This record gives sequence, C-alpha cells and structure tokens, in this order.
Amino acid sequence: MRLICGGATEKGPVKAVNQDSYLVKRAETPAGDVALAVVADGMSGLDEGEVASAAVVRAFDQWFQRTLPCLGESLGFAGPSFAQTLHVQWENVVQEVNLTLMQRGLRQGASLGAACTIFLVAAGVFYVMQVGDTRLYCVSGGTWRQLTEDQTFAAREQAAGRLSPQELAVHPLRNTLLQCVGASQNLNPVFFQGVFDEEATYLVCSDGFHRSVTELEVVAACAPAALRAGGAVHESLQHLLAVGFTRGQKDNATAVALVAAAGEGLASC
Amino acid sequence: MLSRGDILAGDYVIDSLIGKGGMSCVYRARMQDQPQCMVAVKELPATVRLASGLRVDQGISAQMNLMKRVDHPGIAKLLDAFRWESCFYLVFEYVEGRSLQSMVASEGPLPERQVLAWALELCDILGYLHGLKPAVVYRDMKPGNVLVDESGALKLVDLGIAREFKSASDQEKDTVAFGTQGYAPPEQYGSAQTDARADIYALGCTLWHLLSGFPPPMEFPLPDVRTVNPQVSEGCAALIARCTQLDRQQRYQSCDQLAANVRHLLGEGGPAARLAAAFKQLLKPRAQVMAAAPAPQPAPDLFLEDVPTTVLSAAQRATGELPAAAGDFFFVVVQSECFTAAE
Repeated sequence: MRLICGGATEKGPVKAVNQDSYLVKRAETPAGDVALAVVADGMSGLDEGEVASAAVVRAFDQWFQRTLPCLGESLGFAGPSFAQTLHVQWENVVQEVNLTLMQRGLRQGASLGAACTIFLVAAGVFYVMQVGDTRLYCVSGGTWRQLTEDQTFAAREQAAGRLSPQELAVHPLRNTLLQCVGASQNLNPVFFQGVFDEEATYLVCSDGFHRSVTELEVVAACAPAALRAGGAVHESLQHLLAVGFTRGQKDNATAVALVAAAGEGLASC
Repeated sequence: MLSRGDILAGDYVIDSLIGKGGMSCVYRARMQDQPQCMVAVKELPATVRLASGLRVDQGISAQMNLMKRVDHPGIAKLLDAFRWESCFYLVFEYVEGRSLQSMVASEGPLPERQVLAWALELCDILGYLHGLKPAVVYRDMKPGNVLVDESGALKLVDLGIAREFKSASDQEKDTVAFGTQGYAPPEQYGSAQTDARADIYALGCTLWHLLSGFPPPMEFPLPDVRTVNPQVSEGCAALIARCTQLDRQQRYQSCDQLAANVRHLLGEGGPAARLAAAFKQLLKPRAQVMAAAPAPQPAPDLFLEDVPTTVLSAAQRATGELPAAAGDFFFVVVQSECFTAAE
C-alpha cells in the first residue's frame, strides 16, 4: 500500500509564536509504506509551549528513524506482538519527554506542556496515542468522524452528564486539559488501534484547526479523491487554515492528512 | 602551618601536607575519634582574601552554611568549618584519587568515549549545583579540580568558598606554550554577571584539554580542538564549540541540554533505562511501564536530524548491495517533514 501524506501549520495573525509542532514521516518497507504523523500543541497558558511541542515531535522523529526499523525487521510491522511492543515504546517515549520537560520546568521555575496525537499506519492497521485535546479525524463518505476523545474538563463533564453543552460553553474551565505532556505527574496516554480504511483520509490536528472549519469544508478539501487527484496535501490544508483565520480564529493551527494512494503508479508526495 | 601529629581543634590529627597554594595549605588528617576516617583540611589564614574579594574572616561564614547543605556523590562534601586560633579551617571528605589534570599530563590526549562519559558525570554534578536555591555557579571547572576516585567516579573538589583570590601576577604564572591558559568565559573577565552558562563554557574548555592533551589557550573564540587533535570526532568538536560560544545565548543553556547531546554522541541509554533511573529521583515509579524494544536504541535528544534513513539487512550491510530479492528487509525514509518554532 502506498500512502499520500503531508502537513501544514500557521501561527495566525494574533499569537507571537507558533507553539504547535508537527511531524510527517514516511518510509518504504517490505510491508508497504509506513507513515507517522505527530501533531503537538504547546500549551499557551504555560511557558515555552513551542519547546514542549518540539520535544514531542523530536522524540518521535528519533523513534521513527532509529527504533521503528528494528521493530519492523524483528516483528514485521504487524501482529499482536508488534502492536504491544509499539505501545510500550511509545509509552516510554512520551514518559521520557514528560519527565524531561518536568525536570526542565523544575530547574527553571516554569511549567511547560503540550497536547499531542501520534498516528502510525503500517500494514493496513493504524495506531494512535493521545494526550490532551489534539484530535484524529476520519474523513470518508462525505463526513468527518472524530476518532479520539478530548482529555479536557469539558469533555469529561459532558460525557458524565454533569454539564450541558450550553453550560460548558461559558464554563471558566472549558479549555482546561486533564493532562498534557510535560505538566502531568501521572501521565496516562490513551492508546488504541484500528483497521486502516483505504477509502478514508485521516486527519491529525490541533484545536486551532478543528474549531475554525466546518465539516463540509474539511470534506471538500480532504476527501480521498481530492487529495489523490491533486496530490497537493499541503496546499489543501493550507487553504483550510486560511479559511479559519478569516473567521477570526486566533490560535495557532496545524493539520496533517494521510490517505492511501489509489493504486500503483500514482506519484506519492 | 601545621605539622604531622598536630591535633587540630581537638578533633583532627594531621597526617601530611598534600597541597599548598598561595597562603592556604591542604592537609590529610584523621578524625581523632574515628582514626580510619580520613579528611582533607584546608587552612586559610583569616586575613587571606577570597576570590569573592572579601577576606576570609569577612566572607566565609554565610557561605559555609550553604556549602554544608551541598550533598551530591560527585562533590567532595564539606564536613566541618570553624575558626581556630588565627585561621579558618574547612574540613572536606577526603578523596583518594588522581586528578584529571594529572592523568592528561602523564597520558596525553584521553579517549573520546571516556571523556564524554566524564562529561555526563560533570553535567550531573554541575546541574545539581545550578539547581540549588540559590543556584551555585562553580566558576572554576578545570581538570585540576576533578578527581577520579578509586571506583572510577568523579569528585569535584575545591568549591568556591575556599578559593583564594588570584592577583594578576599570580595568573601570569599560568602561561604555557599556547598562551595563557583559560577556562573562564569572556564574561567572567568583565563586569557582567556570570550564571550557569559560565560553568558550561568552562566544562567545554575542560573537555578540550582532555581531548587535546594541552590546556586551552585563552583565545576567544577557542580554536577547534581538532587543530590540536585531528582524531576528535566532528560531533564532539561541535559540542565543545557550542559550549564555548562567546555569546552565552548560543551555548547550551543548561547542563541537561548539554548532557542530552553527550548521550546522543555516546549512543547510550535507551529510554526505558534512563526513565527508570530518573523516576527513582523524582517521581513514583510506574510499575506498568515495561521494558521495551527488541534492541537498545539511542535516547531521543533535543536536536532534530532530518536525515533519510535506509536500513538494510545484515547481509546487505555486509555486501553493500541494495535490496533486490524478495524477503530482504529494507526501511527507506522517502518523506520527512517537520515544523517546530523552538530552537
């Protein structure tokens, strides 16, 4: 299976620094393309959000370059053993980054943190690790479906039925995360996997992206056919980011899209 | 000056003189009630001026309490401090060992991997000092102040509290073939406040000395270490260059940051091993984090390498052939895209 993927990010007109970071990696292997997408959103309410988000993407960049090849060679990029070992490795990477950022924060008297979503596709299966409120969507059949659950106060209260959407919309803690990498002593990333739908586009994004665009706009720009035909994933995402900013969206915005190529012979990104 | 057999303040029996500098002397002594316990005693006449500019009897007391709280296995601990007759005495943990200066003087340039391993230890020690409240900037990192004890571990000696002021004429005595040796960063010669990055500069100079076999010249910027020892790796030379940037903003900003790059060069300590060690110090252990990868891997560091990776099977590595036959493993990175606004 061949994959098409790419990303885009924008600081936006209001923020001084883009505290989002992202990573897209793709490798050719005997099991077909293996691709990794990481979006990390530095917490603007804490210090040096861009440092925190950068730490996450750099750690997973190193993992992809140095650890995944050995894992794939040993376990063949598929199967329960691969999934289990992958989970453990990602847990270690995230916990290491969490610890490093916390130690840095302790030394500097600061608090750094980032939300992140890590998404890997290999041999027809996708794997996700999630901390905070960055999201993974599946775009197919004319709709987009959120696959991750926000680890936020708002989502928790709504799921528990304690607060209505109207109450949450004005609640002072509505933007509070329950955990983030770098500022949580007991970090519990959520890990899950699923069957990769070759007729869907997978979108990993920060909250600055998904709050500012509509479903229709995303489907139009990111449907599999649209990305395969143009091959311009970056431009499609850039267009969506620009749309969001014209609506007065103030936060940094980042998105990474990944879709299976239609068939052999199509040029990948 | 004390002699062998003298009993100091009723507690310490002088064994021998082991060092002399300026007006101060350092003795090896035994504790009178624990004869097997050796200590190092530094004697400072009360009128001697310290590096801080104050006389011993003016400036030492406040610092003594702070230094007594310093507790790190890599720092010779201050055990006692008192005034007796006309002198101040500082009693330190005695370290049986050899200084790095002595080693490099007798053996010449030292192996890079060993030097990097020492760099990690020194980062841990200095980082500890920088993390104290208030932070302690050592300001005198050099091979002569680092001992290697019998177990091979490093010990930092001669904390600033006991360091004498050196006049200009005394400093000129340090002149060697390449010029006056200097471990201090440019800001330490001026009126600017020094901070932890001054120690990082001096640590870079220390590594330069250990890898070249010669004390670092007092040149700004410090020459590339490979001009003296071409065997030093590019990565290591770059690490030293970053430590010794004239602009402190361009140096490593902390010992943690420097240590991360050292680990990267060493290629040691996978995430699980370091995580387990660090959790012992800082957080409750997480029993559910299991041992991981099929093979140990280098730890992630703070520097992004955007280098395409091609991983071949063992057979291909041996022959240098590209993957051709079905069943050959390959991992060829064909796309790498990254954005981060952080340095």
